Amino acid sequence: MLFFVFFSLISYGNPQLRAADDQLLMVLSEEINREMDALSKLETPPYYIDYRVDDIRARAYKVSFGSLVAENESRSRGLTAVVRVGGYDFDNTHDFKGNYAMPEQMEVYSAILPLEDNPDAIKQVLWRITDKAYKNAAGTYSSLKNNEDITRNDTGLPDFSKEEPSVYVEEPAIQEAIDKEYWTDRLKDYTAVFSDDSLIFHCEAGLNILQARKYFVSTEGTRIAQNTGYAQVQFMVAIQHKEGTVLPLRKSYTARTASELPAHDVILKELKAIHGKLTEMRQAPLAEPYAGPAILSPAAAGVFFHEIFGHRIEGHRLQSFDDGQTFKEKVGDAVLPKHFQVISDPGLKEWNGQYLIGEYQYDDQGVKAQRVQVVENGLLKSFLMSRRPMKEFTSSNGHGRAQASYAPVSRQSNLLIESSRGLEDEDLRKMLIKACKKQGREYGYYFKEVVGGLTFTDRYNANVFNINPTEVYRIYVDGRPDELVIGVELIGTPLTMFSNILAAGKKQDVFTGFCGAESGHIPVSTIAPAIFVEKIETQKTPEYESKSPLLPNPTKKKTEK
Amino acid sequence: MKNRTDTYRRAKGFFCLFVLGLFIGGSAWTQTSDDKIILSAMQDELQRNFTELYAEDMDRPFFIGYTIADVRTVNISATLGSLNYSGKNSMKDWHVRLMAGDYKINDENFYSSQPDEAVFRYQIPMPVDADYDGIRRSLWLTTNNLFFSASRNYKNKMALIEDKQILASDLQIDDFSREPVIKRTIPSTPEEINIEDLEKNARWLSAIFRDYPEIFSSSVQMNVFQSTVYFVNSEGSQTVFPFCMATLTIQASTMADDSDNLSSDIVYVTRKISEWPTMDKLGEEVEVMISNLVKLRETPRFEEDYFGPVLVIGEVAAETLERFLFSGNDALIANRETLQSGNQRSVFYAENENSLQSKVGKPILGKNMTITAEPFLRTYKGIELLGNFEVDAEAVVPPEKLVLVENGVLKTLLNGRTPSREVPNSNGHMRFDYSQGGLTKAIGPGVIRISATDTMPVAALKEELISQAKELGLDYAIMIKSLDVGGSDKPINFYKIDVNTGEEILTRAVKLRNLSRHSFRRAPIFSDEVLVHNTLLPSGQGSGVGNSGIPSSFIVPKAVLLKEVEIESYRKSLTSLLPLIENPVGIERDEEKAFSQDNE
Repeated sequence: MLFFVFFSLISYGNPQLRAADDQLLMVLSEEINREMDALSKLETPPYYIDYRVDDIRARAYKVSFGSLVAENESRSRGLTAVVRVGGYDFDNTHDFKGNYAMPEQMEVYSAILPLEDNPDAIKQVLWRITDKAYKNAAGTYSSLKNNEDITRNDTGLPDFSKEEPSVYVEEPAIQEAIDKEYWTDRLKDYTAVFSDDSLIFHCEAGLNILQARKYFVSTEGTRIAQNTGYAQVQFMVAIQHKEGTVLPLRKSYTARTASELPAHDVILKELKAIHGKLTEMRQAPLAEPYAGPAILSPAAAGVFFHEIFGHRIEGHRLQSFDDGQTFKEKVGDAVLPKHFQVISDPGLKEWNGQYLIGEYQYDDQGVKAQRVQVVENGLLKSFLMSRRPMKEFTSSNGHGRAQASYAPVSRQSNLLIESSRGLEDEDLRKMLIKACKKQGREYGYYFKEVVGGLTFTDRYNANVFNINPTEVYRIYVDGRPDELVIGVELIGTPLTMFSNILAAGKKQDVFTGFCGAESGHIPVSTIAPAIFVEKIETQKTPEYESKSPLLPNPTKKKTEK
Repeated sequence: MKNRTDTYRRAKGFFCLFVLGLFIGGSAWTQTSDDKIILSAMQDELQRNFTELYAEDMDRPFFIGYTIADVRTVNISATLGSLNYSGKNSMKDWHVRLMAGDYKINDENFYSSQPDEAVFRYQIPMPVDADYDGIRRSLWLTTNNLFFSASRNYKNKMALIEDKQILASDLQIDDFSREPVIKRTIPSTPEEINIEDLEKNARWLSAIFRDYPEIFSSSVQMNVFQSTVYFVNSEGSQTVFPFCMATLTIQASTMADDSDNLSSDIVYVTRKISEWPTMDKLGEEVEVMISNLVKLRETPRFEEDYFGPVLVIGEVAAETLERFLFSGNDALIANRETLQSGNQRSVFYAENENSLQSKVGKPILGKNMTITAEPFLRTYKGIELLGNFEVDAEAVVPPEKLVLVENGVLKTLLNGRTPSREVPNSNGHMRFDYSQGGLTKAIGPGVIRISATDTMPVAALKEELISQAKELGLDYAIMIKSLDVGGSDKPINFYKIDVNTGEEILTRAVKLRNLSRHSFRRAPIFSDEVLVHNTLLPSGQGSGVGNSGIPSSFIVPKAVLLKEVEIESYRKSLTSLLPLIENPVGIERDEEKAFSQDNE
């Protein structure tokens, strides 16, 4: 199962240093060389080792109704080690039909590393983990070699692509000073917008700041040290609908650093607008299941593409015997209208002044991030590749990604959806109304705000997707004003839905999130235009009934009936 | 080594400063502004809810209790002279208890298979600061939610009782005991924590292992937990008292040539950092622990099975007694039988899992054993008792001395305010179960004294051990002994004692099998020498000793000779698990040394 939630992370480049100038990189290099030298003398030697280190400084504050309810400050260094035994063509991560485990994830080892650059302390952890990882890899390799089923089912593809080693070392980032009092006061102001509303029982604002330095060394000679980081204000409020259902609403603001977050007044103004919207939502009708035309805003379209398309162009998944392999044999086929382009560009740092959290310079396998034209003029051209090759795509294009302690697999980064025939919003609306009339529908839907979605890509579940909107409108064909509705989820299957995309808007926008899949949670972004879909399907959201408290809030200054 | 000594001198200065700080801060305690704010918020919300919380066809609650622990923690860990983690945190750990019904029958101690109401209930997190409004908001919603669930549960329970026409006399056990109302504030002056100094000490202590490549893994962990616990209830009780813990854990592990994992811990569990030994002493203890581990690597493994007498000496003797008397199912702790609704809505009391419950007045241990709870005891022979307390977590003052077992006969069990079949009232032993994540409530010991008659000196016990083994025709007897270092928990060694020569032969890969309370009924012989064991005792089904549990102190005989114990060896790995290449620790220093020697 894959899902997508609000959150973000950014990366920023700095002048390069020599690998020898970074103490931790040196220690990692020394130990990986020592390990490889010694283990190479064994009867079944490893042919490849890599170490990834995520050095993370995190700070977080959370406020509820004007009270500081959580504050955390932490630093951690996580080691992730991969040892491969055999050779590039056939190694301990070899997959085969009937293997229900995820081969890469079974062959990865992780540990906590000391925070200080003390060679003895760091090397001893590397030594222990490499020993375990090697023994496991050698044992798996031996079992695989003696398994006749594997040779019978073999695809003939290598298990690991050969790539040129890279050296890229950014100067360590300067740690941003954070004024706790200033930020907690800001958060208190945000929750104060809702404090006097007697019908709101859950209201939280949080600031999360993460600054990370990511290291990668391999026995092939790759040496990487790059910086990432983000600052995010998150806001969550839950209201109670007139019929008792709880309606959560989320909003977040993300920037490279705390100082680059939107100004206090800007956020405050938006939250006040959200409060007004909540009052409307309390009275909004609950939507019934629907099939018919819809417009997806740029944010909704971004999540839509991420779920129904993005996860189905991740190369490693198309190699899995258990995957639905939706697009595996469709290279060269028309998958979208001719005017659509889909590009994955991890090297893109910002778009239209907004930074892109899916950005990175080198992926988590030490491969340079590359721009990939996935769809060109509606035709499927390529896939997102890690170092696990697939037929006709035998090299990585720098999309091997993973959260700390997971093994990298091919994942999304910055997904750009473009149309050379973008229409004005009004034209999309006209198309929607026309299609509604043709289909005999009283109204079509406009999905304005979304929080995320999920999809299944395997063969054992229906290959469906599910997108969770928070602000949805009915657009009536008879000219009535647009009507806000609640309780809607957008659902469907990928190929049918893709064939129903008819047009795109002119204006694009960014959606930022964290994507969770088999290699953990990674930051991603989409840049998409609004799209018009001839036929979508919705279902009701689960209802969480609530009852108002018997006694009033002891601290409300005023209450409303 | 020279560098370490220099660093240590600086560390010693830090400990002196601590003592100075304590003297300065040791003035008379007065209620702080934080205390006033927190207590006001608790009392105001308690009164409002107790008097105003009402809904149609629901009774008002008959009891509400609020507990808030205002907590600050510091956690530091280091390996080989380098920090792995260093962080501090502030939080409020809190608990609300609300009961519908009355003392005789209320919503608690009842399990029904009836489906629960599917309603989402809001919660508001408790503020980190002494924030009057924030505290009231958190208590407000949680009290409201508990009112609904308690009322619903009570109605279900009463409906079932009435439906089945169960007589009041058949409901043999009340649901809640009446206890005197108390107001008690126990002064506290939190120890000042200098994080930089703690980090420096953790680095220094962990760096000792850098000289020992034979040790494959090691760490030093320091966890400080300081809190003030506030309790108020609708009966009028109010207590304020400190709950502080400071744990120091030094861990090391290695492997013998046959891949037997060898690990050792030294754990200090105290209320204050200033109660830890000096760095000098700790450094010496680490050296002793390392030396023992290195010696164990060369020690032959125990290969056979053994059934016979076993002499247990030191803290391990205390741990053995504690585990069988105060942990697990058959502990000296009352266990309430829950009223349950089963198939066809039958009503019955669940079977009591504690077999001791029905043995009050009967012999359960050797006649020579007497066990008393003495929670007010602060020190014993100059040693601070970790389990000392004056009022429990339900605002009940325990008796100064409570006899649990007298001459082997069970007299009573430790209990809180939930009556059990044999213990209808609280004896003030609802304790706080500590973990780094916070405090929970559990019935458990405070200060326990286990005394014995017909005791012997430890040396005589060894002679008796040999004599018993000879009688059974054994070539050797087994002795289990804690390593001679400080701390609450410490490494344990197993020895084979040659029955002819009395020689103590170290062995390893040994484990005890099927040790039970019955082992203590078969004429155990205790030493006349006594030791104090401060520990965190796992509550409930937990076993073993670790960094969480109920702070407890045991004054116990230093050694015990058990007549019949089964001993066996750990299975040996068929393949080598030893590291394939050399431990990198110290390689550079060795190379530098070789280089300088070559140059000389």
